Amino acid sequence: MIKQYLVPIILFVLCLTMLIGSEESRSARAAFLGNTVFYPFTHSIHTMRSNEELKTELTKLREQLAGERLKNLQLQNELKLYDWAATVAMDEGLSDFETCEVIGYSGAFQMRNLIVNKGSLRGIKIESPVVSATGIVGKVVSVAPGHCVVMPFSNPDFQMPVMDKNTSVQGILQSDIHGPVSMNMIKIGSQISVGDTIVTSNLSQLYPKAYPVGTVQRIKESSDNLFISAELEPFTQVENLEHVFILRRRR
Amino acid sequence: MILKALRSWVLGLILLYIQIMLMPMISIAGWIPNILIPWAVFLVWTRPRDIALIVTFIITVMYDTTQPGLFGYSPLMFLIIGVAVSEVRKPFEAESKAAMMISLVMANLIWFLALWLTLGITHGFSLQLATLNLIAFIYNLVISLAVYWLLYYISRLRVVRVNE
Repeated sequence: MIKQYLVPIILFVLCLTMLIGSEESRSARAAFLGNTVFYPFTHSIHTMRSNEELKTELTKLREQLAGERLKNLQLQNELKLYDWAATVAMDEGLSDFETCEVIGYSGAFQMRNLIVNKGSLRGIKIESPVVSATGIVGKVVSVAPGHCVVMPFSNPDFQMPVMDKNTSVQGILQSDIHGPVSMNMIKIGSQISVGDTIVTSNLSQLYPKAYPVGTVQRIKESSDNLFISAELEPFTQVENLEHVFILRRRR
Repeated sequence: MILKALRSWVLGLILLYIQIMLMPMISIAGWIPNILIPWAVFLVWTRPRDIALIVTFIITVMYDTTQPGLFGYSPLMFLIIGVAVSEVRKPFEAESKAAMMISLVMANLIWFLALWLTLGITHGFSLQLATLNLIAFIYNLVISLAVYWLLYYISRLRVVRVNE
């Protein structure tokens, strides 16, 4: 009978040998076998577990990195906006301005208007002047509580009095349906030349005086030979605008 | 015979890797199902007893190197399970499915009774311990049945070449 149960008895004794003693002695025996006889097995398990932990840590770090990048981007955008706002020059007749973001467009081609993200809830009114950090943009033509529509100077329906910064020669700013922005209705013989800076006129009831508009690129005579017109290179590229400033008049 | 023992050991090694790396993903209330129990029962039913006990012993010692605090516990329990199953199967036919089910239930019962005693002695017997142990027993039994019959039917797969 003992012969029949020899193997179980031997294995039982071996089990007791492994089990007896304190937890430290059991751990020592396990470590000994794990580092010698069963080293390939324990090493592979350790490697797989390390890989899992590293994968988890990598995923967590990637998420953190994405979060930091978004935060960084947000801060950069806020800084850009702050820089732009700091460059807007104010006329004493105006109180302050509302910073707005361009959120869409309406209309097609040169008839395009801008849609911005602030409206009557922020005190914006129709006919409010709109500027950018580099020059004029246009005026508000329609207001809703949460947004408003801005007609830019590139729209052929927009007109405003402008003047030469140095010589104060007056003219009317208007855009052609085909694209070019011009200063029209300039008297023949007026002192205006290519390269001159054109600014908003003192005659304008909409804009503060001397706000930048563009530079003269070309001068040509009108078809009726009574006036000359100056083709302008505007300081503001309407199609690239991200933020605009809507000016509010002091009461 | 040696080849059969080696094949059994390789199967046990595969199940051991699955037990350590994959079973924690399907744990319930902190209880990880033990798929070495159905494997040990399967081994005792399909191999000579001594071969089955030796292979089980080696695999469970390897398993316990990953749990050094309880080193020796798993080999002892699996030895008891192996001897008990080999005694229970004696009066039954070699292919008796009812006997296989009985031995599977008995193996799980031995394991969880021992676990309950061990935990009770170290942490005190309580209703919560008994309830958790019962839930773990039922869960492990379900997994054991699935694994056992998977091993059973895989072992019956044969590649047959038909000459036409």
